[in-house]
Amino acid sequence: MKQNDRIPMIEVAHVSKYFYLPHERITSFKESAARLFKPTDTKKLTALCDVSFSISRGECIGIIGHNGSGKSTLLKILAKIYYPNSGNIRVNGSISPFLELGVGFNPELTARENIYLNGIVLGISRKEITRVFPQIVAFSQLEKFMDTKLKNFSSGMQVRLAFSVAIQPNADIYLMDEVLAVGDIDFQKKCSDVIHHFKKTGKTVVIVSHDLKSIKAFCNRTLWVDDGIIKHSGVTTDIVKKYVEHSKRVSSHSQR
Amino acid sequence: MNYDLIWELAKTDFKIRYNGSILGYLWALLKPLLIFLILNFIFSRVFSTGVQNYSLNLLTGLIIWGYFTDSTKMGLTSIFTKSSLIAKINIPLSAIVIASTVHTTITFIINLSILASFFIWFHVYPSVWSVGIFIVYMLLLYILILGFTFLTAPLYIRYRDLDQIWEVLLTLGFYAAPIIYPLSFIPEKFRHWLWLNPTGYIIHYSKLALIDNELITLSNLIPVIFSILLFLIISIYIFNRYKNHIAEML
Repeated sequence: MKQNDRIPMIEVAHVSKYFYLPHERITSFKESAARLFKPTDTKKLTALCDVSFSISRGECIGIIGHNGSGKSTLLKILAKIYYPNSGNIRVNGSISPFLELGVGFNPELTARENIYLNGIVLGISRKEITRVFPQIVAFSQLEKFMDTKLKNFSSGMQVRLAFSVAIQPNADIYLMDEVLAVGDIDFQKKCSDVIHHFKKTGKTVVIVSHDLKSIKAFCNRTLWVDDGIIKHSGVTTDIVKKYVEHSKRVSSHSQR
Repeated sequence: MNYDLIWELAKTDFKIRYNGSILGYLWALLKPLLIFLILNFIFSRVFSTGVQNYSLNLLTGLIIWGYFTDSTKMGLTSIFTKSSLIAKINIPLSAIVIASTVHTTITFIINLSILASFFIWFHVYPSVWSVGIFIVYMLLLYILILGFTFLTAPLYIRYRDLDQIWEVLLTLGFYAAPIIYPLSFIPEKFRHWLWLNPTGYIIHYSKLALIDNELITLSNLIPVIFSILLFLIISIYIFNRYKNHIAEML
């Protein structure tokens, strides 16, 4: 068991990511034709700059930082949605991304159809969904609404349904982006139970959140991303303390 | 290849497309038939062409052309319409492209069974060889559609004008293909211009095989097979070069 703890599940080495943003985005032939002979003035935006870290099996890592600091880009690179411009990422196991709940949900389909659609998009096989279908329904507590179209669901009900599907894939690594702050208190309790369960069963969890309370509750280690670099990393309580102090200083400075 | 994913995406497209209309899926069959009735009335009653089996020739051409139009229009916008998915999850883009061709192909196959009943109605019975060569042509048409989709779906993310241009080109293609007129109406020296529209070529030889039982020689067919396959390979090559950057372009 002790040896197991040292196995790196995710290794990120010198990763950089740029976005080239044209000042005015070219989206038609006429505009590109007009710009063909002009030098295009694109702005190079560095979202991540030479980021390196590694995450071991069974760890629960928090990622914090201000808006636009590069947290979500980092998570999208881990989820293989974006590809880095330079550097390497080694992932040792299967990933289940929770970047948004209910990816692929369609309001015109029934809850039952959406469970299949969402599940398959998340990489679960049709057979497997049929097997765990009762569990999904029970967890969502929406038994009565399985043949109702999703557009008639309240947003809370949609989130419950989505979360119930999202926890199904039996992955080694779970990536979560601000998914903890949804639903009512009962449901939040259920979510935190699920994360504790992941931790107990030796899964690796990465949480991006602005909610420092839940970061403190779940994560042993935290990365503070600022302006595309990892400003600080270490034990959660220390990092959160530094982050809060920094935020206070910045806001009092700007008030003056 | 993720068949579950392709099938689920295709099924959803299908459900959403006819969602909320009373006749629902029937429209997929009714639309080409209604267009056929209009054109058939115009060209066999109003401006008579005097072509033997005109109605059958027209319907065959319309159904094949309809398949091409429908599939390429859906294919062109296939990645764009799934952008909410692509931005949030690592999903194989090739599955999205292939799924967009699946549901139009199923509609086409059902339309073909209607076409078959028209052949029986007109007492035209193609030979086994004719049907065989027709199936080869339809496979070629599918490969052409797939190649077009792989090539243009990523481009459409960047150039939103493409669907407008394609709409116009399709109208041009409809008149530049032997659909409402037979090939013999075009003077010999202009005919090779018509083959710039590969679908027109496929329609002409499909009609020739099915209705007139005239088979193309293998030596004529091989260059066509070769160039359509080459088109698919080039399209997939370009697609693979762009696919990793599509999520950030959305």
